[in-house]
Amino acid sequence: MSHQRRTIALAALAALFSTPGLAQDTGGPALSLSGFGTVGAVKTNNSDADYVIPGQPDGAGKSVDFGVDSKIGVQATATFNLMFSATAQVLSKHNSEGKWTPGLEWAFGKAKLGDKFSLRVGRMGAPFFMVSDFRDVGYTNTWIRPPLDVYGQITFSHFDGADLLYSSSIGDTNVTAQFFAGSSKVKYANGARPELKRIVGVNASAEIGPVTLRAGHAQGKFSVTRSQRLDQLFNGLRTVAALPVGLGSLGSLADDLEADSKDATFTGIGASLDWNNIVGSAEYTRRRTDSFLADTTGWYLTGGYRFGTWTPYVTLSKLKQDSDSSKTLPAAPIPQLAGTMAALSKGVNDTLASVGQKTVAAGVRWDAMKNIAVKAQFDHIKPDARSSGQFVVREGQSGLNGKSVNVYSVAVDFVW
Amino acid sequence: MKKLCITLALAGAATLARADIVVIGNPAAGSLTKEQVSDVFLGKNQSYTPVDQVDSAPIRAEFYKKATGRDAAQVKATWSRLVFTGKGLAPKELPDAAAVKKAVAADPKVVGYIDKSAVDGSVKVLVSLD
Repeated sequence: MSHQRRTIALAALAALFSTPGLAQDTGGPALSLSGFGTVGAVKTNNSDADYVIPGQPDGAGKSVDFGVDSKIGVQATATFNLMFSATAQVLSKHNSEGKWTPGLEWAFGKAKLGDKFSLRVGRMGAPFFMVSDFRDVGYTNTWIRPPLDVYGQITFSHFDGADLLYSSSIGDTNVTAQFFAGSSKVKYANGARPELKRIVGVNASAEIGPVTLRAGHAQGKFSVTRSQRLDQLFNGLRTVAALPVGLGSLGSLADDLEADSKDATFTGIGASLDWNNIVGSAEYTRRRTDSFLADTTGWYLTGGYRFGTWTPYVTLSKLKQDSDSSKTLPAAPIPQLAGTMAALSKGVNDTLASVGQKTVAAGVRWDAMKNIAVKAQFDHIKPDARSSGQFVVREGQSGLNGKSVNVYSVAVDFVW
Repeated sequence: MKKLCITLALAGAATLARADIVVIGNPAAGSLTKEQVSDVFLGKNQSYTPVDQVDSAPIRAEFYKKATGRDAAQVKATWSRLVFTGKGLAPKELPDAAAVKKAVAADPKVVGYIDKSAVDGSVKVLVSLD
């Protein structure tokens, strides 16, 4: 599949490049090519779990890791006439499969419908957050990466479908709105495949002087397929439920937890400020699903001040788990089931374990050149009691068990 | 006397260094406020198509500072956001004032900026930035 995807990506780029007459500016389709990238290094003071951008199968521990933030993207837009254009973006990063295979992040055709509306069809950035569309373009953000306590809640970065964009000025206020519909899936290194189908959503923002306000809501049907671990757990619960020993409730527990086309919603509000030398932003978001995937609330607050080309900033953020983080299963009614019940109980509680954590971060951005920013950031992260928060616990690691971790990051971001 | 000469010379030099920048449009276009110019050149108002001067032109940085209050890096970051959201394309760069005038004269939706001294009958001054 990844090979196929790469082939499609290359074919799309090749098609854009090979359109005749691109070199001349003679009224034919105009091609604009741009790109962005980050070279980033991350290390922590603890190797019991890996610091990752949620979705990545592994990341940074005590030794320096270049995989968390480093990436390179190329974007091409072909403008055919005043109405039609096509955009493709190919992105290479340490992805959810643990590979660096360049993937087709975006590929859409756009039709401008008058001054205020445009319609896009194809693969586009999934607009769940305030900076969703440019979360990978480090240069455009003050931080090294958007706060994971909020942005880690969703690992779908793009969707396949259509959207309608509206943009207009009402007095001095610039208003934009986006209505979108489609579906999205991710492939994890262990083979599991989370999917979000029948997504419908709206995203609106208003720019009033130095302040931008934003609100968004999306809903869809969430499934996780091909997860060996989850399948094993749910099959186990249902097998025991079917035994004539009075544990039928385990069957409904399996039905409740399983992510099989379950309702999911994501709602967020945010604000950003760019006033004289003061920059700031804040978002408050809620994730809800009728499945094992935790209900969460995430927020962050960032403030910074520009001293010439230097912008020091601080961020406070928190991810709170709003659903159960453990369940008490009934005791084994017959001694022969004791081992099975213990295993099922562990499986359920590992699945529900809290992803909550809070973070205090401080960093500095230096605009070294017009298109190059150099950043350093320190994060102090405290996972919920007995949990590893958003960290990944790999085979052989003991997990954080509520212990806090310091994360040190440096990055060079560039655009061209 | 000598002092006066130096003073005059310095004043002259200062006047030369401070360019009078005007935003120009098609003779058929209506006038714009400075805020509207800022919105157009930061991609917030898509009713007009802005055209830029090349990166190396000294007038460019001065224009953005005066019209938008932002320096080159901030303008770059703003456009990067639009470009990499697929919502906009950075203004086309034209080599000189003559090219800007030509583009503006050809399309009532196009706006550009040039030094006041380069204005002629083919274009209309929409707003002066001084």
